[in-house]
Amino acid sequence: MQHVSSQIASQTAASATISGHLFRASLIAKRMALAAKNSRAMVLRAGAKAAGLKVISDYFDELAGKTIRLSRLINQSAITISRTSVRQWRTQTFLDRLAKSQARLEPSQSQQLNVAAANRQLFLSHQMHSLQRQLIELKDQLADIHQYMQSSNVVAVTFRLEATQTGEFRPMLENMAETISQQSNDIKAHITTSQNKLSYFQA
Amino acid sequence: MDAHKLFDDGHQWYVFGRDPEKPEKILDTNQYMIVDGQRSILLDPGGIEVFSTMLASVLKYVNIEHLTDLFASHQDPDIISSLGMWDQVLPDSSLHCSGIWEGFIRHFGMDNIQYKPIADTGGHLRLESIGLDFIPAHYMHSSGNFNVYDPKAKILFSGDVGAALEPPGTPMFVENFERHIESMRFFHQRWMPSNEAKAHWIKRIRKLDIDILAPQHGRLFKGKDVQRFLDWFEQLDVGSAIK
Repeated sequence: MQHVSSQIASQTAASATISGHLFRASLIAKRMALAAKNSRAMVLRAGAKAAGLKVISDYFDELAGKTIRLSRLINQSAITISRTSVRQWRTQTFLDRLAKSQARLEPSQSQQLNVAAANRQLFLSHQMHSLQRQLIELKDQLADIHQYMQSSNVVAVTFRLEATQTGEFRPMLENMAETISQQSNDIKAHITTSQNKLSYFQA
Repeated sequence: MDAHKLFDDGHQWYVFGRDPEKPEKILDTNQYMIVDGQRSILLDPGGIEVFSTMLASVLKYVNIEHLTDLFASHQDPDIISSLGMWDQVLPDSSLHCSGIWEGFIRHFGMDNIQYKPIADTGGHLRLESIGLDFIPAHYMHSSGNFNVYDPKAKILFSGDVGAALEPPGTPMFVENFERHIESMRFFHQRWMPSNEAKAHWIKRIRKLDIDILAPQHGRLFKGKDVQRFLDWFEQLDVGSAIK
């Protein structure tokens, strides 16, 4: 029982850690959205020389918007998981302590605690089902945002290539490509850490 | 956990404490239970670490459905951090405590138990055949603090007043008051913040007819030791940390 309790404690810590990483990822996503707006402005200023970049910057702007929306959802999912996990932990702690009390009592006295034990066991079971559902949702969302970041890296590479043909705008646009690449990688790092932390949760 | 019956005449008083299984660094606490027919109240039910033994101990004397009330003299963790656990086994019970602590105490977890705030001026609780008085003991040591007085049993549950810091396994009652003083001195000088509050409390308590003064830590005072304690405490200078 102690093992179950410490497993849930690790899981609670893991969910809080995930929540923290995803919050930081959402902050980077906001900066990425700003970078997308800047890239569109720069492409407009570059005019005909950067015509090839217009489609890419429009796509990047759209991708950044989707990333922000998804990162908000993911952050909310992680907080929900963290709350469920804390509830599960507290319930398990209660059940552990109740079992210790029952072990000290005569069967006739111990029976009085069976209803409370059964109620909380049922509650725990509901919490575990909720947690599994929330975890599946979070895993899918993390996979989606990971996919977005891969697309974002492709945008950065294409941006850099197209930037070579933009004359005096080249350094600025290359710098923009570098920013996109860096932010995508930073978000990916937070996502990967979060995905790894999910291993703390029991299958 | 040891259990002693303090009073048995129509209703009963029990004290639980001296738990040999409690973690070593946890301060020993006295928990009390008053049983009056089909209603019972736990006074300062204790910290989360003593919950399992405390629950098992009380159920030896009372059926769980007869545990109807809880009382917390103040908000400290050794008093009531087990609340989140009691909340699961006694969902229909009530907790009586100073009104100023409700928002704080709920941090221990309280989804089911009903909070019954006690006004600063004190209160009264009718069980089945007896009434209990919630006597104001503010700033003794907590800013919202109550004692419980049972006029029929002539027992005063005094919370932290009268507490002593002693090694595990000490007897339940004071046997030699003069020798007991040194176990109480530091606690009262350091934990009790105000000479004015102390004088106010002593004046109020001297009006009560008390056979047993029952603190939340250490030994209980019986008979003449109750007056000896009040006399000793009256002349003690408290609030030592700022002197």
